[in-house]
Parts: sequence; structure tokens; C-alpha cells
Amino acid sequence: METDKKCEDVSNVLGMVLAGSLTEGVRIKLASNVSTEQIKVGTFVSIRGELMRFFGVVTDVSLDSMDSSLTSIPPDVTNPFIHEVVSGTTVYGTLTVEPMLTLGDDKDPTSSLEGPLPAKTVPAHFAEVSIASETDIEFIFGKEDESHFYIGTPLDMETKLCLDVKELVKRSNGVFGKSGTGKTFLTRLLLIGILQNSAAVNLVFDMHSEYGWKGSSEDNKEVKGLKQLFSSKVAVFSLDEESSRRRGLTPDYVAKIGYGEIEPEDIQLLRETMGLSEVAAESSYNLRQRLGPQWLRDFLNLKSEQLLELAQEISVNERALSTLHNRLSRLKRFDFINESDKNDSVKQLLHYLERGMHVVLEFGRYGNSLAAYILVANILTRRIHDRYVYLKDRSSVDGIGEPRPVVITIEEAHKFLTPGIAGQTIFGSIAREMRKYNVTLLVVDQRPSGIDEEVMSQLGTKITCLLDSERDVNSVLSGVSGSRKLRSVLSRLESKQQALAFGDALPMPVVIRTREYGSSESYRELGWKDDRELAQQVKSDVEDLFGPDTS
Amino acid sequence: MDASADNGNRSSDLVGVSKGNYASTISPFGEIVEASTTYLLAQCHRLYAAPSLGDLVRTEEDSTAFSVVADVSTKSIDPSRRPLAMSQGEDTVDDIYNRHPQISRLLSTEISLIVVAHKADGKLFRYLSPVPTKIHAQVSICQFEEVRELTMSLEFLSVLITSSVGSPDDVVAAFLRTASVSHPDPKKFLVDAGKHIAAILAGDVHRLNALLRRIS
Amino acid sequence: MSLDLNSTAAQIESMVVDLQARQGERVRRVESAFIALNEFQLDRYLDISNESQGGRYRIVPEILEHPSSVYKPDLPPGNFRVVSSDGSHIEVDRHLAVRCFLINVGVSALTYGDYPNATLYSVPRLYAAQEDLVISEIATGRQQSIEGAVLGAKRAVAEVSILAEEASGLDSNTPSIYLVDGSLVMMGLVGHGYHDFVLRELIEDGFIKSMNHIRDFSENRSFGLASYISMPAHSDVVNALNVTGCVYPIKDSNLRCDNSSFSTNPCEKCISGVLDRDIFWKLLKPGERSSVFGVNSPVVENHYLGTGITFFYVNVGTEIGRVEMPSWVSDNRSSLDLVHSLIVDQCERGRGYPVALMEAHEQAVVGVSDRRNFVQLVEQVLHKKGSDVYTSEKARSKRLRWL
Repeated sequence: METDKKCEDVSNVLGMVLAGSLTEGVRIKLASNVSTEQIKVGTFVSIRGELMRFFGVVTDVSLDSMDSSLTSIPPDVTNPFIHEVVSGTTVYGTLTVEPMLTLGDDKDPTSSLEGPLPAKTVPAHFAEVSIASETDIEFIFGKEDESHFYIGTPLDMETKLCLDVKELVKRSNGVFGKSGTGKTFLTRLLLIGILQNSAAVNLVFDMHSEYGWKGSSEDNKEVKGLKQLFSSKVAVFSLDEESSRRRGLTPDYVAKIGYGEIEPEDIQLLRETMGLSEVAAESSYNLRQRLGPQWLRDFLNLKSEQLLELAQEISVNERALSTLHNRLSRLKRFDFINESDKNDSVKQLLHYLERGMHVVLEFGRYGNSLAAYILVANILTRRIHDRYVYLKDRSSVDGIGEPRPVVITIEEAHKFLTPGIAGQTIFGSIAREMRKYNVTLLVVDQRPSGIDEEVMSQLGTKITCLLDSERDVNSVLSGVSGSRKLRSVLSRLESKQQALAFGDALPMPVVIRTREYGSSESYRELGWKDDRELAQQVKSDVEDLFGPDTS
Repeated sequence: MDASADNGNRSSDLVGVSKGNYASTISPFGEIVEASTTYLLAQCHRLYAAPSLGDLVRTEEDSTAFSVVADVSTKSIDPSRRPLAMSQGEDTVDDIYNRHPQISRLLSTEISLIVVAHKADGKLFRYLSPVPTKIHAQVSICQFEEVRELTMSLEFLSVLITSSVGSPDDVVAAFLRTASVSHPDPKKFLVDAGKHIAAILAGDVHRLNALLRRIS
Repeated sequence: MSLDLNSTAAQIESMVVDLQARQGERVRRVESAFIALNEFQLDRYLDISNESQGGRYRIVPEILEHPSSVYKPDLPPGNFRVVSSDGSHIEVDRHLAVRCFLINVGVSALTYGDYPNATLYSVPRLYAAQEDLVISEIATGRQQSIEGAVLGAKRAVAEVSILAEEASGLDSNTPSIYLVDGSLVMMGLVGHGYHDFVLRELIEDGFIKSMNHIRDFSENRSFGLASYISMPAHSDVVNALNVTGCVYPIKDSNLRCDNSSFSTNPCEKCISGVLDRDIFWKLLKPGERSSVFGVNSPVVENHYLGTGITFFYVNVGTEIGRVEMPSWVSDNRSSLDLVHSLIVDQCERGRGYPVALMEAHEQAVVGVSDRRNFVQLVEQVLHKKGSDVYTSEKARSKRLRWL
């Protein structure tokens, strides 16, 4: 019925546009039946302009009154009738909405076929503002399908909000948030999204062994890792076989690294973590030159009196060399480093990746050692990158297929990407060169301000939970249009399960409530089948192939 | 006069005007004796047989004018004669009127009306008619349906609020209270009307407070 | 020039001294008159007045019982009605372009008791036709234009005739009295040399005819007709006292006592200048009336067709009023009592003056602005009809006030 329809429309109307600008956002007067308490910053709204529809995000909510004297002589609100009358008229709420997208004329269906475009103007006066509908969200962020991964829901809505995974994997991305805000959950979801979409393969440097077999939620409940959900597509490598087995997992491969694989650049990266002076770190280059590929093994085998000799030989400060020797000796404690030069960890890794298997490298007990993490991630990434550069170059020359894109997930990313060294490390190169060689990063960090600014600006999509400090916020939002308004949204995120997402994979910044993860229902939604279902599946597959079992 | 209420009731029974309620009667209670496009003065056919403050009334001629009772006064018909206090001892007002039957012939009840709308060719316009009502036009109380129809939209409220006839705030409040009954959700009607008023009286919180208190 | 208040003040002072002196003498004379009233010898009076039939004592009243008699009023009946009329006129104005006059008679009919009601209205009548403006005798062709005292009489006739109409419209048995303002004796027409046909037309064919009409109607009803005079300046009864009390021989008393000045003191017991109301104010308590006296007047005798006019004085609380009636009212004791009690009641309700008369008067009054409107209306109508309107410059300047 027409009247019913009207009623429904009315109930969704929040208010009307009264003022504003594209740079400052538009000011919206709330309708008298809408309380400011009903609208949260980050809420997604739709504005019906004269020629097109606008989509935007609420960036501020404020109280206003028609009459400035009202603050000194408030109306008699002890009388409920007066209270009701005055609210929304004499006093009212206003919203500031950042117009993000325009949709073309909704009366002309062809115009909206082009999809949403960035807003380059603001809606006209008195345009009607309403909370975005499910169809709006679907239209803008796409329906859940093979290239659109359901990551969460907009605030106060039950609509599935999707990331464009194809766009996501084209560039390096970042997940930020202070500890305990759900970075790991978000990352796990993104990994699954990439995995399901088959757009790329993941290589996860799983510092705390949370992604491979199982992880734990905030309330210490166990949640399934990738391997459990997608066993046929995921391989778990382990640096610490004992730890893996203890947790009920037989790793697909136990990774080892030979001393010969460690390069002076790796030492450079470990400088801060291992407390090396610049001179000491630099001297590793001299050692490499003097001692050859097995420089580290040889160096660590030297006795202290031999060090003096060597120092003179390669004209390096003796004390510095001694410190270096001292510190690097700690690496001996890492059992995954051996003296063999026949380790094929990298080869295995590439082998899996090239087959389209997603690889999670668990650090086990070494996860507590940042040095081990940095060292391994750096060495492996460098080798993979070299290989990809080779493959990519060869493909362009020989015309064979390009290597399968790989997304490398690193945690504590600022250790690899601090402003001082980002220019030299392999991660810095990967971040900057984008997907030229089909290698991109998924940067997970709680301290984005420690990451090189240039790297940050190269991240295609950023998903950030609540951050600790102003500097981190600045760093995440630098170079983003409308950052001032996003900042207020970001600073008001709830500490759990909420994140602000913006960048290439989304047509506009949006606050999401992260999709639920951890219940069997949620696993099933992600495509997991329990044993019974699996058996059923096998049976029906068999029947499909060979016909019903008649015996 | 202290007794007007008592007498008013008695008189209104005679013409079937039931107070505060737009009854089904359509018999005229008075006649226009002064008219402009914005303001009408009607004299009651019977002393004290006046509608209540804020009642919606109609005058019937070529086009129907709708107006709101803004002031009711009873006074000597002859301006040079003023009533003198008459009670002796514990006389009731009725005693006095019975002892001096001529009094009710020497007084008349007059109603000041603020014109708010008109109807021409069956169409309702919530603004003034271009032509004032004619003198001696009959005036009657509006029926329930008419009140509801007219008050579906309240853009004419500002006319009542800015009027200088009688006590505008009381007129507005009485009008709305009475009209609210004709709506399916009187509470909602009053709140909507209140919001209308709040917009008109922006900048005058004192008056807004006072007016809204009268409505609630 | 403004008033010289200094000189005036001195004059006012001497006036007050004079007044005080006269007041003392007046009080003394009223006292004497009151004594004379009580000592009045009815028999002697009747002798003397009979003796002097046709002589100068014709103006003394007919006294039927001792003048010091006092009657208390009855309580008014539960339901009753008082009908009054009063008239006013717009006099023929010689500045007006046409000759005409207007008589406006106001009527009030007040019903008291179980069903109180009031009817107030006025009946204006314009006299402009030639036959309306004069009284003529067909046989001789003589004419009397209606103005001055004749117009006053014409108005009195109109007042009574409208009461007659009211009376004939009455269909209930509610006790009723009919009241007019002023005297029932048309003294104004006496002594101005008006021809008989004028008096016949106004009195016999007008005033008395209407009164008789009312009388005919009043038969078998509780009914009264009267006129009320406030602050009566009559001295009929005092004159009667003088007839028996004056020490001067009758024939000479004229020389000594026929003036109302209290500055001279012709004799010790002189009561000249005392008014009837002075002595009855002493005699009557509130509500009480005097005995009934008869009017001795040639007009009544010659033109009232046998109807006598009687009167009594009544204390209405704030003053002594004089009530005049046709004899057929006073002859009927119940009618007399009804008139007495209702007039007292009316004055009580009306703060010392009959309410019905007051309201009739209010209906009749033509205010200054109405007078002007009337004149303009007449002129407008004449103008429309094509007659040119000539008004004197004086009249015009009165209407157009200018600076």
C-alpha cells in the first residue's frame, strides 16, 4: 500500500542537508523524531540529491539550537510534552557527513550501471538523508561472490559488506590496530578471503603460530586456523617441529636455514633488534667479502684471538668486530639454522606456492625471538622475490605464464620497514614496486608510525582497528582525502571487532564490524565441512562419477 | 463577571452548544457585526451563548470563512450605560438576572474571531479569503470533520500566534487542545503542532515555554 | 476670556449665607405645614372649597379622606408585569430643508416571577406629510401646526396609545401595571389659547381614547395604569392646608402669601413655598403612600370625558414620588394597591426610580449623533428623489466642524 510505503520511507529519514562543503563535509539537521543518540559516527548514509544519490559516512554528531539564549534559559523540559516538542525544533541534532560517492541519477538506470564514483560535489540544500539500505551497501561494495569477500557488516546494519579481493591483491595492504583489537582475526579473514578467491597465494610468516593450525580468541577460546579449514589448500611449514607436534599438527615441511643463506643485509636488518652499532653491522659486508658465502659460519667459528687478526686484515675496528661476533653468536641458539648448504626450504616453499598452495610458516618457540622472525622472514622473502623477479622477467621474454601472485604476510612490520632501512630492505622494495613482480605484502602492525611513510603511502588498502597514539593515527591516515573526519571516526572505534577500512578494495572508507569468526557456524559459512559432511560430499562426488553404489 | 461561567452554561444549553467539543449542531449562534479580511466580530444571538475560546467557527455565505474564537466579551450594548453591581446579600447571579430581567436585554456577548482559512468552490484554502465576510452573516460552530480537515496542516498557526486579539497564547492553546480531539492520535497532533509553534517562536523561549505549558 | 474666580468666589459666599438664612425659614415652614397636615380639618376644607366653587381655589385638590392617612404597600404578587413607555422627539427644525418631526416611543415590558423576561423596543415615527404636521378642523378649515406644547402633547398621546396596543396584545392574566412618565394632566395645553378642536383631537380623541381602551381591556383583570413623577414640584396639598390654615382672610391672602420666597415672613404660621413632597417626606416611611387626592383642573373637567385624575404620594426610599392615575384605577382598591406595591417594587429594583420607566426612556432617547444621522438620512432620501436640499448656512456650519 502506498501509505505503508510512505511510512517506511519516513522512518528511515534522518534529516536534511542544510549546509556544508566538499572539504568540510555537509551539515545535516536531524529530523525531530531522530535523536542524536541513535546515530553513531561512522554510520553509512545515503543522500538523495536532485540529480544523483550521494553516499557518505557520518563523521561528526553535534547538538545545536535555534536560539543562542537557549543555553542560558533552557525550556521547561521537566514537562514531558514541552520536552518532546522542543526536541528537533528549537533544539536539534546535526550530523556532519562526508560525501564519498555519487551514484548518478537513480531514475535513469543506465547511469548507475557505471557504478559509484568518488563524490566531486555536495548534494543540494534540503536533500533528504537516510540511513543507507542493504541494497545500497550491496550496490556499492558488491555482493558476496568469488571476487567479493564478506569481511563484516557496516555499523548498526546486518548487511554483508564485501571487499573486492581482486583489487586487494593488486597492491600491498595493511592491517593496523593496537594489541587486542582484533588484528589477528581481521588478518585471518583477509587470508581466507584471498584463499577463497584464488587470486593469489598467501605466504604467512606466522610469528605466534596463530594462522596455521589453530589460534586463540581474546577469551582464550581455540579457533581453527587455515589448515583446519582448508587442509587441501594450505601447507604449514614449521621452524619448530616439536612445538607444532605438541599442538597436534604434523607440519608439511620443517624449514631449515643454512648459514650460507644469511647475507649481510639480513644483519643490517637485525641491527636494532640485536643492539649492533652501525660500524659493527657494516663490518658484516667486509666479512662476506673476505670469507665468502659461508662467511657467517666461518666467522662464528673463529676464536677470539683469531678475531683480532681478522679485524686487522679487513681493517675493521676490533671491538666492533668482537661485538658483532658476540651478538651473532646468539644465532647459534636457533636450531633451524644449520651449517648445511643443502637446505631446500626456499625451494620447497616456492614449490608449494607455485602449485597454488598457501603456506603458513610457524615460528613455534622462536616466535618469541624477534631476531629469528626478522631473519627468517627477510631471508625467505628475499629468495622468493629473487625467484619471482626471475620468473616474471622470463615470462615476459619467453611468453610463458606469469608466476602466481603471492601475498606475504608479515607481523611487527615496522621492524622491517622503519624509515631508516626501508629503502634497503627487500620489504621496502616490495612495498614500493607494487605488484610488478607479483609479490605484495600484507603488513600487520600495531605501531604504524614506525613504518616508513613512503611505504605507508603505497599500501593499497588499509584496515585499521583502534590505535594507541596520535602518531599512529596520523601515519595510517596520511595522504587520505578527508582524513580529518576519518580521524574522528577512527578515534571512536570500539576496541574490539570494529575497524575502519579504506583504500583500493573499497569504493569508500567504511567502518565495519568484523565478521564473526570462531563458531562452527562461522566456519561453515566460510566453506568448511565437518567430517560427516565431508563424507557425504565424497559419497555424492563418487556417485556423480560412477553412479550410485548398487552393491 | 464571576458568574459568566454559570450563565454561560445555562445559555449554551439553549442553543445546544456543548463546550469544548465540536458537536453535530450546525445552528448558528451569532451574526457578524464587524468584518475585515483578517478579523470578525460576531454578536451572539443569546447572551452568554458563545462558543469557547479557541473554537473553530464558520461563516456561511458565498464562500465559507473559517475563523478561531480569540476573545469573548459581554458588555453593555449602550456604551454610555455601564452595569452596576447589584447583588444584595447572598444573591446568586441567577437571582440578580431574575430580579432584573431587562439586564439580559441590555448586555450582549460578542466574539472576536481571527480569520484563518476559507473554502471556495468546495476547496479549502488555509489563508485569508480575498473578500471579507459580509456583515450579518450567520456564524456557527464547525463540525468535527471540518476541524480535522482544517487542522491536517497548521501553516495558519502563525496568524493566531502573531495576532493581537485577546490573549494569543491562550487562543492557540485552546484551539489546539480542542482540535486535537478530532484527530485519531491527539497526542501526536499536539506534539506536531508544538513543533510548528517552536519554529515560529524561535528566539522567544519564555513565550514558547508558556504556550507549550498551556497545551500540555 | 476665563472666568474671574476671585470675584465669583465672593459672590458664592454671600449666596450661601443667604441660602442658609432661607433654609432656616424653610425648615420652620415645613414644620408648620406638617403640623397643619396633622391638624387638618377635612369638614372645614370641604365647606370652604365648596363655597368657593368657581373661585380661585379651583387648583386645590379634591380631598376625600384625611390627608395624613398612611398606607403600607402590599407585597407584590408572585408573577407580575410592568409595561412602560416613554417618548422623545426630534423637533421641527426650521433650519432643516423640509418640515418634519420624529417621535420615538420606547417601550419596556418587564415580566417578573417564575419566568422572568424583558422586551425592550422603540417605535420611531416620522411625521412629514402635510396632514401629519397640522391639526385641522375640517368644518372650518382652521389649522394648528404641531410644534412646541402641541408636539409635547402629541408625544404624550403616542406614549399612551402604544401602551394601549401593548395591553391589547396581552393574553395572560398576569397582574400588570402600565406606567408613563410625567403627569396625566395635560396642563401644557392650558392657557395658551389653543382652539377647542386642538384639545379635542389631542385629548378626547387621543389621550383619553387610549386610556379608555386600556380601561376596557383591564376589566376583570388585576391591572393598573399610572404615571410617575419624580421630584414632584406640586404643592396641591400644601395649598389645601393653606385654605384652612392661613390667618389672612381668604380674599387677601393672595397679596401676602402667594409667593414662595422664604426671606419674608408674612405671618407666624405661613406655609407658602412648601412643596407637597416636603411634608410627605416627613409623613411617609419608605414604601408607604399617602391617601388619594383628586386633581381639580378645568382640562380634566372639560376634556377628559368624565375620567377623573387622582394622585397619591409615595415614599420610594430615596424620595417622594407622585403617582397619578385615572379615577377608574384609584376607585378600584385592588388596582390601587397593585399600582402602589409595584411602583414601590420598581423603585426598589431601580435604585429609586421605576426600572420599567428608565428602560423605556433609554429606548426612547435619541442621542446627538442619531439626531444628526436622522437629518442626514432625510436629506439623502430627498436628494435621491431629486429634490434640492436647501439648508441654512448656520445649520451647515453646525454639522461641519472645521478649523
